[in-house]
Amino acid sequence: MSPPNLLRWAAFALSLAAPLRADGPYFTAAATETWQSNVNNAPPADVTRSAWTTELAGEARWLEALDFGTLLTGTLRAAADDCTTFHGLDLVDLDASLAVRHKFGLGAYATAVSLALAGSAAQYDDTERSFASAALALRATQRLTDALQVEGTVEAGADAARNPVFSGSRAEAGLTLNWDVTETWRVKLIGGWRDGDVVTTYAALGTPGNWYPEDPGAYAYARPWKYVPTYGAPYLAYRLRGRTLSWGAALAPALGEHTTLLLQVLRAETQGYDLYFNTLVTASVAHEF
Amino acid sequence: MNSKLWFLAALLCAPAAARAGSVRVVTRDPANQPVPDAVASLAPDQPVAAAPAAGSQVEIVQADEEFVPYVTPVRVGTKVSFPNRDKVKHHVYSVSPAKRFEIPLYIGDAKEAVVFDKPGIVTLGCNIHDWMVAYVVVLDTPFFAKTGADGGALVSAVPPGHYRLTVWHPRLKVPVVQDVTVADTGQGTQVVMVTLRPDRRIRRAPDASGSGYR
Repeated sequence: MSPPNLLRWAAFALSLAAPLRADGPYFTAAATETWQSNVNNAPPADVTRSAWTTELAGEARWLEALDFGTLLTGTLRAAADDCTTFHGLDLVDLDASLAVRHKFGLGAYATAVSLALAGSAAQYDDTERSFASAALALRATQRLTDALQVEGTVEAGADAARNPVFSGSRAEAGLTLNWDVTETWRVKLIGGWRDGDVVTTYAALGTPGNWYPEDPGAYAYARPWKYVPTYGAPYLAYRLRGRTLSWGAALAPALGEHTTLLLQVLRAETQGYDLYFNTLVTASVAHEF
Repeated sequence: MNSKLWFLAALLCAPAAARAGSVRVVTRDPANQPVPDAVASLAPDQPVAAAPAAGSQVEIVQADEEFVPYVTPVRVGTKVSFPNRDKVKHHVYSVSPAKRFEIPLYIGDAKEAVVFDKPGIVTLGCNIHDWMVAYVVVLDTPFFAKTGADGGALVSAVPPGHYRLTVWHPRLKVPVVQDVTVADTGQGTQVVMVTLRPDRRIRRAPDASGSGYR
């Protein structure tokens, strides 16, 4: 069994064990609307396509306190995405994760570190994109004052899709600063780095069965590639290695003790064969039951 | 004549509680709004007799992932129990000099109550839910009360004499101290103006996350 498959099954099996003796389940529901400026991830010289996506998600969480400072969390999440512009990107997604969090000391100012193993499976309307994935993430949080908290994450993951163009592996790191301006209003500053496989698209020329890219250099640089009808015009999708830097900010007002609204703008720039730009604008509401 | 002498002797020997007044403490902020959860205590200039003994027990409950009540004044020597009425375990602790303790993870009633045996302010927290906070005000005087929603607190059964009134609140930088004279009978009123720091607590609402770049 290949390492990505093994990770996937281990994550799923471990997550099933969590409900056996833990507190919970605790439920959260979220609705998210996202606009992407470059959903097809094309270079600026090519035709970039923007898209709206609506997501509805539900999550169940179990908690088991292992000792004074250590918490085990098992989570199951189901989501459905509707890309109102390109329905090939509609999907249903099931995630399972198991995380261990340890606090080094007592109180809100103690450093907390967590290690999480996650597996997910997504079924796209464009079925060749459907994938299963596994990821291992290490996260640390440190409260600096009652109003300021810093979070850092490093993660490694792998996706196995029906078509190898959409498979790949990645390493990521992220840093978030949460600033509670008041108890209601939170400002988030977000920075991210990603190195790994990226799927980009280039306009396709030629005829069915005999497609070729406008830029032959892309074909030479990337392996593998395929024709995709997803964006309403002939495109070739390539998997290539790229390094992405992302940064953004968000406003997250609390609507009571159990509900949060999020308004976020994120900018991502990927250096692969070309430079690819994407802007994501997100509005989300999450409620804990 | 003998009956009059006996009557006079009985009056002189009457318990101090029969000659006791009360003080109503009214707290207000600069906007003239009432200040709840302030602890008013009277410390006598001279020792007083018939002070009630410690040994009573009070509860600070964990419900809906909060401590209830937020502020609890107690006499030195009081036992405090911490029943957990939530479905999730809590880890109650304090690192305050007046009382350091921790109660390991539990649901329902904790194994033992905690005796608060030194005067001072004890800040309580939960090591799993960072937003949970409460205060135990441990006093070495039996004359104290906590203000309610109307900002008022009645300290009753106070022997007559001179006292130092101290008003404490979690958001007061320094307690307010005033001199008070308590009469033999009846109720006196002390209006105490307090300027509170902004109410800053760790945010409890969930952390929503937006769409990330894949």
